[in-house]
Parts: sequence; structure tokens; C-alpha cells
Amino acid sequence: MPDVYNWHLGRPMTYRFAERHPRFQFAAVFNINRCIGCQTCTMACKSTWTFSRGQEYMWWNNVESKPYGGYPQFWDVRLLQLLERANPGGQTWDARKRDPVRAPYGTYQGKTVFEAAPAGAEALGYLPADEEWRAPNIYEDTSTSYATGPGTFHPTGEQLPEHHTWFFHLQRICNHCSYPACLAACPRNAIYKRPEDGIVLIDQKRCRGYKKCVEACPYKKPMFNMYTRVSEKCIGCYPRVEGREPLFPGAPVEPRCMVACVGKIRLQGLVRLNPDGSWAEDRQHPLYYLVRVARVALPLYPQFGTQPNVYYIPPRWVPRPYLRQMFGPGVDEAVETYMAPPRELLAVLQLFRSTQRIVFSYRIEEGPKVFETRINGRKWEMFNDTVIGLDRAGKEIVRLSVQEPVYTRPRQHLNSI
Amino acid sequence: MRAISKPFAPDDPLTLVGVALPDSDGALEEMARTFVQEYLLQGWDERRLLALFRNPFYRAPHLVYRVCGEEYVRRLIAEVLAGWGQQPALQEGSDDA
Repeated sequence: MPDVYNWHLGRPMTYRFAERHPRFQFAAVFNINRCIGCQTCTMACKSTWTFSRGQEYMWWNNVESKPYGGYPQFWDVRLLQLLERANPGGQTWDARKRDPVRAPYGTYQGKTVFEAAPAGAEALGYLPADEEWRAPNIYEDTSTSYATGPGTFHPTGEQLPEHHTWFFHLQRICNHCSYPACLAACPRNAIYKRPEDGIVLIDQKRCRGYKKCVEACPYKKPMFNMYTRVSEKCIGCYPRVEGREPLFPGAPVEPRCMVACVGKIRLQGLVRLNPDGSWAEDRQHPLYYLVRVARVALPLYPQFGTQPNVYYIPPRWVPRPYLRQMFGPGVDEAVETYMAPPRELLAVLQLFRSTQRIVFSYRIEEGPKVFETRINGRKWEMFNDTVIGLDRAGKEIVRLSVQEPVYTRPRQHLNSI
Repeated sequence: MRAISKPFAPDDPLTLVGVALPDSDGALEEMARTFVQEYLLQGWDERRLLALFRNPFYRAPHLVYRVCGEEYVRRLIAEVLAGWGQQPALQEGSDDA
């Protein structure tokens, strides 16, 4: 098998196909700190794409309450366990071997799902049982301590059940990986990555429903339709990304799950790639800034080796060992930066969910200082800057200030809606 | 009929229980610290912060209060306040607290 370069791992790795990269890559940043778990994204996706027969159990976008929930259940624990068995003690990183471009998180020393694949398989994985798909977010609103049986009530029903420790919401869609395990595993070569935007799709005509993609994807995002007998997955709302949304003729528009977000946690875009697959320097692109410059957004389970393209700003109230396992060794720097955000970061964070149209670049107009404090012993200042989002042609599409404006109702409208 | 309770089995793929977590000291620390920092940003002082942790209707801060105790909460508030340029106003055991 050929070697490909994975910059999340900071090293080459084996993959079924030789390197070939799209011109642009579909990518997104999800700010976990802002998510309230309302599932509006989940329903936006469901009502757009998976309302048909055979899709009843499918949630291409799901939000699971970690560490309790998972869809399918325990997907990540199962994968981590499989990796550990295949390569005991191997999931470690060498932080000394860092390079800002080629290895921003250091070098991963263990095996990826491709390198740990059993004989005859392209990737290490498993096929979830039907039952594991049935509870897309178990324990979201109930807790493990709420012990009841069928037809019984809680013995002290006057007390609501509660989680006995921390939790957070993890938003998951297909990562449209640079090295998709689903694509590598398909014996029919029915899965492909689009050269124009890197979106990973399953050719419904070529697919014969062997479920190898379901087995191989470590994030468990391809799903088998038992009515059509072929597999399906998140399509990145490609008609919208292509500019075929009737509301905005010709303009690339973000996917439904992103624009429906109530908590303003999501920002999606298209990042320009170099021929070697690395992100081309694009200093004023908001995703480039968040991932490559500020380094507050990190890939989910980078050790799997697929180089996923959805990045997360980790939740800062969660114990670091858990976060390091989930997002790699960049967690400490990301949390520290997010806790006392630099001036530019505070402005860029305002762009999240500010427009349906895809933002290709931004500029900032400096404003006055409005607040000053100390965070963890260091001076921190807040400026009321204005951030301006621009489209592909450099035309302004959105404008926001760090301090949101306050409107006071006139007296005659105090109680009117 | 009484529900049968069985211990958590990590190798059982169908078991409808949560993921086992180490119940070690400090598991709630980052969360408790975040509560204090977030309310400080809103301009809350030490007295109001302590009242928040004591109030059972604020479930998560009160969980920290129950599990770790008042002394822990007081120490944490004082520690975070120190980093934010404020000095703790209340003494331990004070009637005002």
C-alpha cells in the first residue's frame, strides 16, 4: 500500500490509494462550548434528507451527550478499544516533533485504523448491531443513576434525576475525511471524493450494500438502508455548497445543519488546498485562522488516521485527559487560548452562524477598548471591533461588532410583540 | 416486580448503561472553575458566587458543593478571584457567608 502524508499525525501513513487531493476542501469548526444540545441541527438534516422509507433510524447529523451517549452506542469507546488491542499502549504522541505546517500537534506514534487493519481488510472497524443504532442520544436528559424498571416510578420521585459528573454535547456529521476509511474499504469503488470540494459521496448506482463502509468508518457515519439495500451518508448538502440553493442563486451556501444552529456554534467553509493536500496559506480565511493560526479548533480522534475535516473547539470544563484522548495533544493550547481569546479570535468567533452564505475571508475594523480584566493572572482587554465577512469575490456579505448592539423599546411599545 | 440490577460490563455491546468513568478526585474541578470564571465575567462577587453553589436549584454548581464540600468551593472561589485581580472578601466560617 502507498504512503500518504497525514498532517494531523505529523507523519506519513499507509492508505489504500496514492495521494490525490481536491482543489478545495469542505471543512467546518464546531464550538462545543456554545452548544446547548437543542438538536435543531439534527432535525434540520432529518427533515431535509432522511425522511424516507428505510431511513427511519438514520441521523446523518446527530448530537450526543458525552461521555454517556453515542450513535451508534459506544462507537468511540469500541474503536479506541479495538485500536488498543491491535497496538497495546500505542496511542501516544511525541510533542517534541512539532512543525507548524507539517506536524502542528506533534507526531502520533501509534497505529491508525489503516495500519492496524486485520488481514484482508482495509481498515480496523466493526459493524454495529441493529440495537446500537436505536438510541441516538440515550441519557441526554436522564441520568445513569435514575434506576427504574418497566412500569415503575423513581422511589423518590420528587427529586429529578441528575448527571453525577460533567458532560458536554458532541455534534457529529460526516467528517468528509481527507483519507476516508469508507472509501478505502468499498470493494465496488462506489465511494468517491469530489475534486471540487472534497465532499465524500456514495454512488447509489454502484453500491451493492456490502456494508464495508459502515464497518470501516471509525466515526460510523455511513448507514445502510435496508429498504433500498444500499448505503447512504451525509452528503454535505452539496447542492447548497454548489450554489444551487434557490434563496441565494449562484452563491455557495452552508449546509442545513449549520445554518439552523440556534447556539451559533458552527462555521462551515471551503479551504484551499495545496497539491500535496496541506492547507494553502489563506490568512484571512476564518477556518484557516481558527485551525492553523489560533489553533483553537482540533480534529476529532486524530489518531484514527482519516484526517477528518470537521474541527472542534474543545469544552473547557471537561478534565483534560479525556479531551486529550478525544482531540489529541493540541487540547491544552486550544483551551488556554479560548479562555483568554486574542483580539482577532474574539472578532472571528462572531462570524459563526451570522449568515447562510459561505464566508471565504474576513477583515476587521478596529474599535475602542470596552473592558479590561485579568484572566489567570494576566491582563486581558476587550475591544469592540467590527468583523466583516466576505464572499468568494471579496464582496461584503455580513458585518458584526464584538459588542452586540442593544435596542431599547420605546415606551409606547413596551408590552407589544 | 423489581428491576434486576447488574454490574457494568464494558465488553457487552448492547448494555444500556453509560460509559464507565473514573470517579477520581478532581473530575469536577475544571467544571467548577468554569462556573466561577463565567459568573465572574458577569460581574458577580464572592458572596453571590458562594450562594450560587449553595442553592440546590443551580444543580451543577450545587453538585460540586455537595460532592466536594463548602471549604473546597470557598478555596476555589478565592483562587480564581486571585487570578482575576480581586481579593476574597469573606473569611471562612464568617456569618455573612
